[in-house]
Amino acid sequence: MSAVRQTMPASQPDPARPFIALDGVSKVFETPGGRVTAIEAASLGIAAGETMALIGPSGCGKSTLLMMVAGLLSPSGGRLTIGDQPVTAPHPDLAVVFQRDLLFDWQTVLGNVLSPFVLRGEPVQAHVDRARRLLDHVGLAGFEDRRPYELSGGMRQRVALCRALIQDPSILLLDEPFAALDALTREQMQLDLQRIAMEATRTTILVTHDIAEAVFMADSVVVMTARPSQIREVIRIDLPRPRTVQTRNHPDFGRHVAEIHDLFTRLGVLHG
Amino acid sequence: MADASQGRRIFWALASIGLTLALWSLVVVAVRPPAYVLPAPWEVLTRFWTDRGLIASHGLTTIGEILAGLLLSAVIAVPLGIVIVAVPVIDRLVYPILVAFNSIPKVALAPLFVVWFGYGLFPRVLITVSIAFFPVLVAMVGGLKSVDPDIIRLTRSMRARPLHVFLRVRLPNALPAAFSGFKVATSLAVIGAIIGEFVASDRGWGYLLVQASGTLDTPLMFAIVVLLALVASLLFYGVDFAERRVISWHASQRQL
Repeated sequence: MSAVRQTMPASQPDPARPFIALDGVSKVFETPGGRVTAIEAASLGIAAGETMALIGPSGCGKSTLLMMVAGLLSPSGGRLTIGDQPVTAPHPDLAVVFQRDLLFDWQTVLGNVLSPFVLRGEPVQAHVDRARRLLDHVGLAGFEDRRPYELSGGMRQRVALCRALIQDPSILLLDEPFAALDALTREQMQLDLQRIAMEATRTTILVTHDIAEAVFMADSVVVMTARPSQIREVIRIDLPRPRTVQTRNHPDFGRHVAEIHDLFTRLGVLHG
Repeated sequence: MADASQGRRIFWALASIGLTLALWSLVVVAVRPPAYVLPAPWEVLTRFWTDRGLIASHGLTTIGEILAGLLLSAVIAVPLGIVIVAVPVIDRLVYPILVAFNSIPKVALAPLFVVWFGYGLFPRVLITVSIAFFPVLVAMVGGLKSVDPDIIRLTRSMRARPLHVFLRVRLPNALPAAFSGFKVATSLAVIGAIIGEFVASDRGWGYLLVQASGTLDTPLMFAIVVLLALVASLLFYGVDFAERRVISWHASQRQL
């Protein structure tokens, strides 16, 4: 427990709480097989506008952590705040992209992108142009009237991303959104997201199990381990932005990837 | 592409009907059973023609009952399914009654309906509905309830309103199941109408069947049975056609 405290993010510049703050947040699931501790006393601070990646082996509770920040799961203990307000429900200015695209099969691509407004009972007319621009941005111009089943996995996930971005959220939560995609499509999605994310100041949390993806996308990478599920280290990534195809050739990129790799080896997650 | 596969489907349907007729004819020619046991296909066909007026006028009654029963089943089951899923108290209160009701063999209700409502069209439609509506209801309730939990999580993250989630997510999500239920209901509605006419009628194909049975008029019975199969098939494919139009987005409608 105290180990976790020591590896908390490098001391905050001032006593004010970070935009998103976790203090000893834990999550225990009651299952028929007994109590399962998914998160054990996690403490983290995420500054407004920061992109943070949570990385770790499966079962380390990184998705659970994200769902708690989303207000979709409530912590069993500890304190979780966004902008100093305790999280009890999804924050009004937040959007989530899940691992599966979760598109509505019965809606067109455009209908899916506009669905957040429809489901809130708000008029959609004002958002149609922006929806088309977003789709164009991710290479889906001309697909507005198609149905999801006519699209490839990568295209579907891009629609899901547009559906999140159209809400212009100040907090964007991404739960392994690229995990099911092939390597090339994944890289393109990472580039697209970088580009779109630069348009507005957004606080982004990305859950991933891909070290290179975490380094490429994030300002800080949180390394987590399973059994016990803990935050082991927070690594700053100071690669220049915007990050492009060339970023992967930057010497610091390789250095950070190697550093996290070594860390996982030392922690026994990787062994050979 | 779709036209070609449609053509192929029709070809195989005709081929299977042709095969059945050929086997039937073969048995008749080889075994030479008396006509009151197994009439030949051509004897049945002749009977169709000679009694066409009688068959058609009674058929109108039966088909009317079937269609009215199906329509009422949908009109009752769909809203009831929505209410059951939307209001948990009604689910707990009404669903057990409905399940108990469904476990009654509906044939047993027919004489009761005669006592209550006499020999008119109404008791027969009522029997049809009592048999046909349950699969629609069960499918509707199942379809409305079986939304992917992650989709519900997604709508919560969007701060969607419950009413809109119901109308825009649960309802379209239930359509494929509702269509499956309705397909089952088509054949049950035919059964319901015939049972109703066995017990409570002086009209319809069910009534004609009872009459023909009394006089060992097997060719007429065969003619009616063939017609009933035809009506049931047409209803099934009618729903199937509507399904392909309405839920073309669903996995069940995709061709490999």
